[in-house]
Amino acid sequence: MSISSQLSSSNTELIITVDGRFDASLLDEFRLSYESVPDTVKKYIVDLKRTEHLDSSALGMLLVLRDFAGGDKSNVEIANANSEVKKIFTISSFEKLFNVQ
Amino acid sequence: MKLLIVDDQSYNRDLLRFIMEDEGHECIDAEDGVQALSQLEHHQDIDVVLMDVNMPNMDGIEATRRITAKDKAQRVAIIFITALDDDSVLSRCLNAGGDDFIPKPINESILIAKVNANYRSINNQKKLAEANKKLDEFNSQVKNDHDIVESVFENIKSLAPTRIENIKTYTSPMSMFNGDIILSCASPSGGAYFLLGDFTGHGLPAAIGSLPVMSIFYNSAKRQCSISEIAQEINNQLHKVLPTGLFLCATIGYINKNGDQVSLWSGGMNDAVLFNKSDLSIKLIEGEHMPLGIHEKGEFNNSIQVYTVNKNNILYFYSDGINEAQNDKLDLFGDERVYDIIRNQYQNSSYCPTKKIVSEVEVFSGTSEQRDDISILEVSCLPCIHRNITNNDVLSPEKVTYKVDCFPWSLDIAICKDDLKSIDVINQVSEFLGTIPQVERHKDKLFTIISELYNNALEHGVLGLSSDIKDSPQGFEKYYELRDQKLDEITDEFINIKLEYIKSKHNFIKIQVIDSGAGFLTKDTSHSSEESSLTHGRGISLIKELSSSLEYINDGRHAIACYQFDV
Repeated sequence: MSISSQLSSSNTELIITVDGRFDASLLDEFRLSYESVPDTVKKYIVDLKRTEHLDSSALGMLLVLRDFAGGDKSNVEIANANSEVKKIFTISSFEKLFNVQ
Repeated sequence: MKLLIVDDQSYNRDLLRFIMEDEGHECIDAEDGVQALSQLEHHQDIDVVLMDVNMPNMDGIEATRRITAKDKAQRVAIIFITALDDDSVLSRCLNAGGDDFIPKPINESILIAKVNANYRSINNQKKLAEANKKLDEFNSQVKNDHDIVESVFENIKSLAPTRIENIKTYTSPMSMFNGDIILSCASPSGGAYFLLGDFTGHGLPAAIGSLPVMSIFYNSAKRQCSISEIAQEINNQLHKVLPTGLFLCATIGYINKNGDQVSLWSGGMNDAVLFNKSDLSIKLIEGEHMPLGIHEKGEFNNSIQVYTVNKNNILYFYSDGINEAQNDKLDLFGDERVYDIIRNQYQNSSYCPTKKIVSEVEVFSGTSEQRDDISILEVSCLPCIHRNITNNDVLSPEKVTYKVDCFPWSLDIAICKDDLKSIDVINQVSEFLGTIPQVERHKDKLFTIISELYNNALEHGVLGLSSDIKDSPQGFEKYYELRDQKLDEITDEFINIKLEYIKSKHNFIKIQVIDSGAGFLTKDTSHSSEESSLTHGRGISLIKELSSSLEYINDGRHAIACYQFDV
């Protein structure tokens, strides 16, 4: 599995971990990881520590997640991005839309 | 058996000879000590000497002293034949090096029994001496072999032309033969890779196991592989080549150029220590995985831990030779002592915990036989400084690692039909670029550019999809559904990728992507990159940012991007 997700014990946080390459091939898997979570989830953390690369379609997928999580009111954190991935975020001004750690 | 009979009385000699020859033994005579010495000189194969005590010229005791002084390996047994009436004579006989005595008058069966017993003992003695000699030869051979292997390893290590100032290591001499391995190597991106490992088992098997580890480590470092990839590759190789039961406990790590992020893969090792200088706190980092070489390819877990660190942090990794060091009372050195040394040393002015830990372990284990080899790796979380190994100059690692001059080249790739359906096309191209000298360290950026250009060519060109569909989240899904549908319908469409390495004042990779579609570039797509919260249009802005120029011609069927880089 390239994508795994885990609810925090209080059911308020969802951690989604992406393995390897983050691109359009993970579209369904990525959506399924958050689609059916309980309403109690307030914060989404996308953990990229095992992500080697991501392309513009992955950025699109993150935007869809942001929209799902409440758009401008959403709380989506991008965690453990490596420097290459961070650079892609910076170039796309994604730092303004997401909480990039 | 061959005997030397020493007696000045011919009657005695004849009697002994008569008994011994009757037993089937060969006998030689001597009339005094002087003759006995010369007979032994001539007949190296004499096993037993029957020695009289009182003789003219040289008596039996003096002769015995001289024989045993020469005969260090005790190849000859000396039995005195004497009357038992004088204890002091008897003790002098034995002190001179005699092995036994036979009382006069001679009892035939005692004589035969004692000669046979001494012959047996001398024979065992000889076998032992031979075995010892072979063992000595073998040991010196092994030492020779070890010296050679050790120097081979040193040579391989010196292939890394830089030393990283942030990384300090200690490893006891010849520890390779106890399975310890410490490696560090600059990444062309300016960061540094490191590895501390401990093979199960000892001696040559452990040393041989470290050969593939070293070559994978250095090659991967040059290609800027991720820690996950390195761990996976080492695991797969070791699993293939090592017998069951031999495996490698190891921590593999990477610290980035700025020294603010550390990634670790750790299996089967001690907890690593993340020390904070400002508050003297210690955070332990547990190994998450099984050692390398146990799991098959598919079962291996290559997930890593990533830590954000700062200039106050120092990382320590050490082999179990330290915490499992024993003293005479069989107490263990333990981890707490290590933590205490690290904390205390920092409060001291002479701050060097690595040396201190080594010396404390030495004092602790003293003369204890249990002493194991020890290895420590220290990583200071500061911006990486790389120095030339010979003259200590500060270097940028890309300058050192990539002295190879590359000739101009070009590469044409035509992708059509089913190959267009494979998601892996760009991965393969990128892997290939990663093997070209000088280009490899730009692999990641080139990958992004090529992948975005290719996706545009495929989705907008070949498949004729419009980005407008992606305007809403529902549309985003719809877009990729359509993409999959249309991919299935592909017949004789194609995408050509042309890559050229152009050497001039600046070095370029010129990337051209040409597709067979109807052309997708219209006036209104040109400004889409300006809008920031749409779900499309990011690809083009990424390419523009990473490359020095981007141009679409022929209505978008033909993209030309240049990536400029310094060598």
